[in-house]
Amino acid sequence: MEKNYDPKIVAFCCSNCASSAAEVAHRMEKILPENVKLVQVPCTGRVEILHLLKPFENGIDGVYVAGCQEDSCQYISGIAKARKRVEHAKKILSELDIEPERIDVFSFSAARGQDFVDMARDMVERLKTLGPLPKKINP
Amino acid sequence: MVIGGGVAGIQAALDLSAAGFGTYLVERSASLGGMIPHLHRIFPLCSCCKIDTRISLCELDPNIKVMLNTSVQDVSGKAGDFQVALETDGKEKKIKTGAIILAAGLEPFDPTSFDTYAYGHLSNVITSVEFEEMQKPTGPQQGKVLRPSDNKPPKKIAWLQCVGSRDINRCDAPYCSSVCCMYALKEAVNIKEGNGDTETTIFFMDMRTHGKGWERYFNQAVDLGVRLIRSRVHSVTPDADNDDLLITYADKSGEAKRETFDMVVLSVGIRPSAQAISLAEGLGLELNEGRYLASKPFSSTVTSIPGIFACGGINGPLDITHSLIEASASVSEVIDLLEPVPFSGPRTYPDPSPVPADPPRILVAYHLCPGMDDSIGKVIQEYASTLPDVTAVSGVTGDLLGSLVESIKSSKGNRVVFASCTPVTHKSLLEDALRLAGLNPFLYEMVDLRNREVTPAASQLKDLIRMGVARSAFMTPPDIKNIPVEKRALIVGGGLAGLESALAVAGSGFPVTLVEKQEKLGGNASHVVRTWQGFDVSEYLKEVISQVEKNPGIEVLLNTTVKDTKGFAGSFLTTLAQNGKEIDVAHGVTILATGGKASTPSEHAYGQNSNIYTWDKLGEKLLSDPDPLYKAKCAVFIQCVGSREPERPYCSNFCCTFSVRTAIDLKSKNPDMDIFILYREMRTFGERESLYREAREKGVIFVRYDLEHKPTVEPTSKEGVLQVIVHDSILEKSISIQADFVSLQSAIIPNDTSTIAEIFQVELDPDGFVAESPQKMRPMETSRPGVYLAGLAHYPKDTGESITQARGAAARALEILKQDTVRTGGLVAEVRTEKCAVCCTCVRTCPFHVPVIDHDLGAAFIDPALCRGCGMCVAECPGKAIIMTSCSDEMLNQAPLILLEQ
Amino acid sequence: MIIAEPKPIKEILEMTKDFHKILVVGCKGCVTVCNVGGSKEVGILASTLRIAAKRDGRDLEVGEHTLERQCDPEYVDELEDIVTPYDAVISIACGVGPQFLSERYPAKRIFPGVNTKFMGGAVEHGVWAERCAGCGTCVVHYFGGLCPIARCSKSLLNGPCGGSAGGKCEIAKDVDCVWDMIVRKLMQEGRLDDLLQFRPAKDWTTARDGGPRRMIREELVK
Repeated sequence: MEKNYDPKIVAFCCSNCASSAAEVAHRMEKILPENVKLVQVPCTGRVEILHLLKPFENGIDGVYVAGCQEDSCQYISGIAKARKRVEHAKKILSELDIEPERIDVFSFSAARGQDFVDMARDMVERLKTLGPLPKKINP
Repeated sequence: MVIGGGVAGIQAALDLSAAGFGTYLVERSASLGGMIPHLHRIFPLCSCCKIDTRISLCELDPNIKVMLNTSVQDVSGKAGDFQVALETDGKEKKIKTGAIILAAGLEPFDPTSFDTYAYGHLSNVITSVEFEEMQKPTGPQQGKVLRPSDNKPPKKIAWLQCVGSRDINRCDAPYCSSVCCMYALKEAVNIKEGNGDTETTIFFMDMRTHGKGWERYFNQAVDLGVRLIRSRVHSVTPDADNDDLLITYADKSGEAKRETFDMVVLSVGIRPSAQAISLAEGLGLELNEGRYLASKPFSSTVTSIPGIFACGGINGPLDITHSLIEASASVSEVIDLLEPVPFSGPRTYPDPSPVPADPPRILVAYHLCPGMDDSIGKVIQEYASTLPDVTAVSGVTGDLLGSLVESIKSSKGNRVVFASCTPVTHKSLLEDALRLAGLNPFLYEMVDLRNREVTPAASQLKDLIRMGVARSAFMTPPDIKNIPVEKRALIVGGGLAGLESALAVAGSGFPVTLVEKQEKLGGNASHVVRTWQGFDVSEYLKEVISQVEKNPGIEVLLNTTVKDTKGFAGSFLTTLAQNGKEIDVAHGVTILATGGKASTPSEHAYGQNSNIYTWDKLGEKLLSDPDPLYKAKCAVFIQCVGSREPERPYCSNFCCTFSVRTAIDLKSKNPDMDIFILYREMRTFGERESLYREAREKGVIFVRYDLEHKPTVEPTSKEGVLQVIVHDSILEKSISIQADFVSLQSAIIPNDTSTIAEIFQVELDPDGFVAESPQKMRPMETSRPGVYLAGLAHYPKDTGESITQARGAAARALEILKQDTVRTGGLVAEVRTEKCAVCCTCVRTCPFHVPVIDHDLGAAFIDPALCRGCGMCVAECPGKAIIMTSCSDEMLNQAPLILLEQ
Repeated sequence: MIIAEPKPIKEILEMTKDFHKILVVGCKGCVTVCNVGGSKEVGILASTLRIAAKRDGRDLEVGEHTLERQCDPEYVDELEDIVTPYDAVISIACGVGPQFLSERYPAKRIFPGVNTKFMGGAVEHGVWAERCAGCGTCVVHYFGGLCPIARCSKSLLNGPCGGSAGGKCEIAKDVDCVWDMIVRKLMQEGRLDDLLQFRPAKDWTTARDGGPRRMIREELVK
């Protein structure tokens, strides 16, 4: 575990609930940690497995998807699809002996807007504990 | 003019503007929104955030003038020509207006006068409104519910229902507030979701979950462990040792029980706000018993003064759904009365300019909210100018639209990156600006400045700008087409809802095709005797049918069904079938008013004896041959036959009211008749509560039974007499009643909804009724744009509510009919046919069933007019044949890298 | 279509551990439709290999390409220039792909990236089931339109065995007994007697049992 390590995180956020949650968090004057970068998508159902893996090729330490709750997705099944794909991406990471916790998916609603920033902070803490992508000692 | 800026007022203003009226939206407080910003996680779909979008739509709409901190002093004149004296921040102003919609709203009951509940004395007794404020993340404790006395989270909470409702003893609220049972369940469920160990107990009299989806929510709450105790609590006393609260109540058997709670929440009722009442009285409007506005029979939004209409909380104890329905219905009344005069003429947009879309020439525009550091603007200015493809950077203030258009034109930019704090609210503004500047309205990218350390030093700001610029460079102008709107409405269903919406649409000047599958109009209303208020339905129905038949703008097709419908909002083509012939109708909107009917019971010996009726057959008999019923010695009404059971977990809404109303009418004809109403919960919600009281005063006997002990009906040896045995849950004994006739209030089931869902491609809810739009807060819209909804097809409701919803649906439909063209394309998915493997994955994936396989093309086809732009098919397509220019793979793969760059 | 499943990543990494320049080649045929070997999967496998290399601090260059099909020489030829800089190729087409590639590009080491399983179809989105074993003499019409060779665990042709219970095959609870289905279907159609018809023994020489097969269409051959 390296001490002065600032994890780099990418979050794919939907334009509906996640955006509303962001609005609430904003009103509560909560600030997103600097190392979390947001990429907006119309619906989390747009995010594919490759979009979740590519960041790891390029020096990013963690990825998460932020969307609506299952019963209030404006596009009905977007977040459900996103969950499945995140599960699959986690499996791929496990097979590579990389911690699957580096990828995750969260549901938000405006009613729990504080979660939006809190979750981002949790991810940062989680990745600080996990450390940067491990270097395997060659056999 | 709309007086009141709550959810009903906002909806009315938006509908008026869509109909072409210049509208003043007058609000006495400093902000719009009314009660909604105080609520937490409303039901059915969490949608409090939606109010923000609507508020900004009002603010941006050139036809709506929002006047905050403004109160009404006086109104004079008459319909078509009112003069309203307003006062804003001490300054007076007189405004002329043709019609007024009063949406002055409600306020929660103040329980301070209930000394036995010690509100205001015991700190841990709070109102439900205060409870929800605590649950809100923007609330005083950032979403944590804490006991006022010691700031610890409460472990055991009690809700006391009907505080300030159903009470003529200690306050002047004889009505039921209709929302408190649901909100108490919701508050309990929400707190349990946060902490499963919290014990929640609701003390109630009748659990009134009579709305769409409400009964299911009730069942879920019970499954989650919310405890329900049927008992109206008299007092809350303090525990001697600590700040806990002691409640003594009588349980079912009459035994006194004592329980301690950490916190007591008083479920306060709603009432018209004091200002609303004084305004109404000042205007000379008639009030009714509950001090709500009195309305015209069959027209709940029409007041006693012509030209003044009302909607929402001032009209009755209404929930959000009904407030929205009334808001749109009141607009349809205004449309009937006045010709629209907008504030500003329709915008004319120039033809797309010759500025080529490639190479990208990006204008970076930013709008800083008041209170933001000005130097941010400098950082954006300096940094953005260094980025590739950026032609100009400018800050916009004041007249945002004007300055944006100016900046676009002067920079000759062909893409806009717009940085602001509230991207969603500025979307329509940006599209408008691009169109006015002659560009494709989708060539913009928004940079969200929220949740950011937007101090000049922070690199986050630069990352965002860099990302926004790169994303906009990736965009290619999507194809858009303007399709002419078919100015005609197709209304499916010739019952009262269909008839009323036909009249309302025709009244706004658009032709209607009304389709009815049976051989005559009228539907269920043909066997309804009276409304709950006692108005005669058959006379009214005759009048409405005659108006429809006489109206040259309404084409009535009887014995006609719908075979097929194609197209999209603004341009539908429907094929009808009448006596074997096919008729094609081109129309811009559809209103589904396909209705419902009473189900046929399989229990209570129905069908075995001619004296056992279902409620609709009873209605028919009362209309055609009532004497045998009037002469009966004893009548029994059985509620919840087939409703609120595992196979049908919903409440049919008006059966309790029907029975009570009919019982009162029978008693007036024959005071000696014994009438028993066997019920599980008495759901005479809202102002219908007065009927419950009247029935009891007249001697109607109410016996409560539960699901495990259903009553039985059997013929006896005596001719025409039936024996009804019911297990009284209070006596805990069975009672036998010798009845001359029995009325079974059987469940209301929707007509043919699975066929309707298939033909019209609309979603159904879990109970089989047509579902409301997933966009939330749209009770007259289905999941398919352009297809609206009214009446029993939406959910069981009584005559008055069907009429109101029908008029509301007609007003909503105008949004499309009023336009000359609809725009298709834009932020949608597109199939690259050469790459399509015709594997059907997109067809299976799309939740809106948009992609179809075009066999001639040999590929899937996504109609740009129907695509909602979610991108799921783009992600799922195995061959990457589907693209979305606004959210491409290229962008999604590169965005993280761009953000990381220094 | 031909259904395949991805090989475990560890196996692929083990196979290719000595190579530093790998080309991943996909196919737009069957394997695209069953989401295992199309351009999307090429991207995912390439990304996975690169992440693994980064994890190990190893040098690795991964190229990506998807051919229309890997079972027609014209398409395989298209790789000629593309494959030059690479030492190894992982083909994620069905088993035919790696073989055609090996034959055409003998200088490169060709590795299969998927395990080809069976010929089948989609029973629901994301689920494919075996339907055809390629026996060479199709007689599904004898059995009500169902194939006992592909769908019976023992490929029985005369009726169910004693292990058929509750409509399921004894090998696993989620495997339907196709003989149960055949009998029920023929009963429903009123043609149960069809099963009593005497038929000569099956000629297995047309199946894999007869050796590697070849099909020649005289009217098409030059």
